[in-house]
Amino acid sequence: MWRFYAIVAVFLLSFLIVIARLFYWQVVRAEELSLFGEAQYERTVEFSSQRGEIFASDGFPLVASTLSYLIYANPKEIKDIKNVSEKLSNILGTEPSSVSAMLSLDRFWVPVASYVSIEKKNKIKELSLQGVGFDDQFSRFYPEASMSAHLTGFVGKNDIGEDKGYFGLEGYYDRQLKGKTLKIVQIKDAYERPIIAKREVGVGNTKGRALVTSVDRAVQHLVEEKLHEGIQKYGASGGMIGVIDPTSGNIIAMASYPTFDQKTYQRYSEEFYKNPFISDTYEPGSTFKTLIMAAGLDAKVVLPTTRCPICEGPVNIGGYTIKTWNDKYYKNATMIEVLQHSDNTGMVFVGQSLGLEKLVSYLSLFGIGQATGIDLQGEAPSSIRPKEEWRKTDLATASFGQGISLTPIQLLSAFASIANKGVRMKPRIVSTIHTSGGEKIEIKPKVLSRPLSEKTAKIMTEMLVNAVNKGEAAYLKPKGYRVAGKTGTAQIPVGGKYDLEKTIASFIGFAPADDPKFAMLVIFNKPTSSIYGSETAAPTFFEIAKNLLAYYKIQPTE
Amino acid sequence: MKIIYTSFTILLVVIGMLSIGQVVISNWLSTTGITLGAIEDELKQYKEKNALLEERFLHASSLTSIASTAAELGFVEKKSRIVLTDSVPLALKR
Repeated sequence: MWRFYAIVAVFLLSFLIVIARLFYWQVVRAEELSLFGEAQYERTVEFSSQRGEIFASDGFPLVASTLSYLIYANPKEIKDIKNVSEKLSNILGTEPSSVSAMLSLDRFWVPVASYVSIEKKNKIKELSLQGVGFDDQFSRFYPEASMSAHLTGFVGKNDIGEDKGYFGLEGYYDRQLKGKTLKIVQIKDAYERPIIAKREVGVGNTKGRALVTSVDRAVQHLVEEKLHEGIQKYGASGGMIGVIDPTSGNIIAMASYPTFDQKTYQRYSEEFYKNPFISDTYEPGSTFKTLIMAAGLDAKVVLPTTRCPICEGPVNIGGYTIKTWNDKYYKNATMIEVLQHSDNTGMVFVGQSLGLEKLVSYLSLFGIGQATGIDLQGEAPSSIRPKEEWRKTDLATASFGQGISLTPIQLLSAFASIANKGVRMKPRIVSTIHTSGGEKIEIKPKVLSRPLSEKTAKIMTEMLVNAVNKGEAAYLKPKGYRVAGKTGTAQIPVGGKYDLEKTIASFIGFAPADDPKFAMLVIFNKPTSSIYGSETAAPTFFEIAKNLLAYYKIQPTE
Repeated sequence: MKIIYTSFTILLVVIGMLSIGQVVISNWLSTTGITLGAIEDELKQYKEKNALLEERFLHASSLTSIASTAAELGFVEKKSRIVLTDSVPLALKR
């Protein structure tokens, strides 16, 4: 009998042990085993975000994203590190030691190379290397090479290694251009093949928003070509050109030199990334006379036929002698002639007639001393000294564009108001934003201010046409067209004095005068073949203008 | 009693059939991963081809490329232009 009870007790004990063991694995260690199982049969697939494109006005991408790959490895699965390192480095073009260093780390996942091209990735895939895998990435691609580099900016990395736009449109619209990373959880079998059993899809689309700009590719190409030619021809250290549609504020083209290549931006010094057209201030010289004269006419302190009583010789202001650029003086010159001869003494008269209060007020209306708000990262506003700090000499010199600093974009957008019936538009690059869902967000042109009346703008236009027709650059004007414009030769302040040999030569103008399609500012920095705007910037302006008039199919009117 | 036995039998048969059905469907689903994997591989290949083609197309149709090719072929910038402003008469009266 006792044998019977003993066997029953043994069975009962065995069952208790099994139940206790089951309890241990299914309750106590349940979570750990569940996670271990998920790691075996689940795979999180990350779809990296695709940055939105930047299109020119014709829909051609200035900046696009192309497929590339992140090569990663699991060092635990690699048996022959030396062999794998050599094979990878041969294809990737890197040092075997750097690859070997990564593969020697005590980790389950290490990045070997990022933004690897499709061709290289396929070569590595053919090797069927154990422990080496590939993840999709998107890298920036520039179909027009380094054209419009200062406008687009570039994509670099932030502190935590994520893509981030810097300068230009990439910097300004970084958040819009960035996409979202989408995660999908897949179930896989023992051979790593997916099973249609469960799928959890992340919310949202991966692609960032696309920008459609007002940049005309053909004009941008022309402007960059002519800028480069001009810099070489005139021996300048640099230069910039901006072309704007005065009626909308749309930037048609903008180029600066020296420039950089967005794809290989790391090879360039940081100073090249800045767009000097929006970031660098300069003393504009005679091109600024257009704004002061317009202000004088608008305030009715002078008329086109007002005669200058102080123009017969140099003018003495606060102990300083103000001369004309060529030391020629025109007694009793009219305001029309003052602009035509680019007469500094005549402009001093206009400035004095305006007075400090009105001059500063008009400068503010023209946006001088304020950021234009252009949608490019890196705009630096210039600053105008407070009224209380202005001296008589400051008023005099500001009247002909010296002793006052502004950025080229400020000058161009202010000048464009003359072409736009006295209305100053906000300069802008992006006209439409396309969302990943197909929605189009239009960005409407914005009026910033109305510095001049329509009548003043018309009068100024005629005076500027006269300045071109009878000025030093008259022989360069395209035949049959009315072009409004003004040359500028500004001396550069060096250590508190002006260097007579180094100038910023410029020309600003718009055409056709009666129905302006474009306004343009050309600047050459320290040209050596000639220091004058009429002999450097003006020829380049008219060369581009001739091409633009033909491009826009504008008929001659004269 | 007979009804209870019949109901119990029917229930057992239904359970049995559903269990067999589950096994069959699970078995079928487990192998569709092979097809899915193959489709995903094919999709990746097309994605890569599309990316390469797009890059080539954009590069070829870029103004920079066209200008370079035009220069190589000997095209030069036209310096002078002829503008026809008024309509030209078909015939003149003598």
